[in-house]
Amino acid sequence: MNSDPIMRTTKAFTAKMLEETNNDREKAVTLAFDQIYNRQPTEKERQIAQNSMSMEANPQEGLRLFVQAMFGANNFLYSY
Amino acid sequence: MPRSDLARWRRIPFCNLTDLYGAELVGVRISDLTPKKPNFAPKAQRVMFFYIGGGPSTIDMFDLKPTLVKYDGKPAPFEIKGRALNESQQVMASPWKFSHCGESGRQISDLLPHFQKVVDKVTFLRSMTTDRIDHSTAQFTFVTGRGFTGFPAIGAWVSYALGTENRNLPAYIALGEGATIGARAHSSAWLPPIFNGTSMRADPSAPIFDIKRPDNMSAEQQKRFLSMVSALDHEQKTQCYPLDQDLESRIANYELAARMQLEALKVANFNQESEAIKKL
Repeated sequence: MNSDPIMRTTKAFTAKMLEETNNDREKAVTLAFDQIYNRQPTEKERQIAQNSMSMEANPQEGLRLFVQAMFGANNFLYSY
Repeated sequence: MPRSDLARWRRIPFCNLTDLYGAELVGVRISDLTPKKPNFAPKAQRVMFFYIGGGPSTIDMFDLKPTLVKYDGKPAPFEIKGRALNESQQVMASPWKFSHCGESGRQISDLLPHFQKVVDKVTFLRSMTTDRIDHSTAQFTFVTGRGFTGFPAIGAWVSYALGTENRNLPAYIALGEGATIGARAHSSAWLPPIFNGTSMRADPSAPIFDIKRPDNMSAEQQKRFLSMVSALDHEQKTQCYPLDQDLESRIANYELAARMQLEALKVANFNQESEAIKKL
């Protein structure tokens, strides 16, 4: 969760999500869930993402941090 | 099937019977690492368990075999089957000189000159036997009591039985890997994963891979990041797998990992230790 590759990957991935949604951060969150977990986010997950973006001076960094959490979470690491 | 339908299918809640029975059988909440009292008051306060798979043979160190000496260079008095190299039946004794040491008179080879001086402080168990002749099966026998994979290691059982007094470090730490059987030497197998041994390295700067916070992440960001991972995991568990023990264990392990980030570095730092400890 702390390695250099995951930091680089989340930065690039976040930029891609924003680019594909014309910088619409809410749509970027939905797209990230589709790409990483292959499903739609729950209401609570959307709220976690929104909180992360509102806590950073640069919302894109908040989104990147949330994406990093998505990659570190169980949902990504283990397939059921 | 459209991806959105597939996504919904993946999120169908289900109840796994093995989870229910597993929890019932072990009789504990899986995240239960709280200290527990053993059935008998222990005399020992601490135990260090050294499992040195691939180390020098005991026959060359402190387990002199008189029968090997008797038949040295001669054919064995019985037929050697299975692992006879080049079908040889010849016996070879240890090539090292053994001396009687200490008041106990224990025979120790000259390979261990310091050990020869402290031998009276050591208890030897000479009653252990095995019918396993190969490396891996012998290692499984030693750490799990059975000569094959799939059973919990002794450290996992101890963690399960006694718990831990330190919530910020794993109950069971394994230094290095277990010779040819690897991480299975400290596996919890079918016990919940929270009793698994956590691998640590004898490197104070990085005792666990990626344990240190990245340079470009502030302490506040890291705190929020770990909090989000935990929140996402709990949401997944609530929505999809409320009875899944493995998932609960993983969540507990992640939360432990967050607490470990500071503690593990402190534990692995030997600077504050006395010279006597450093000499060890």
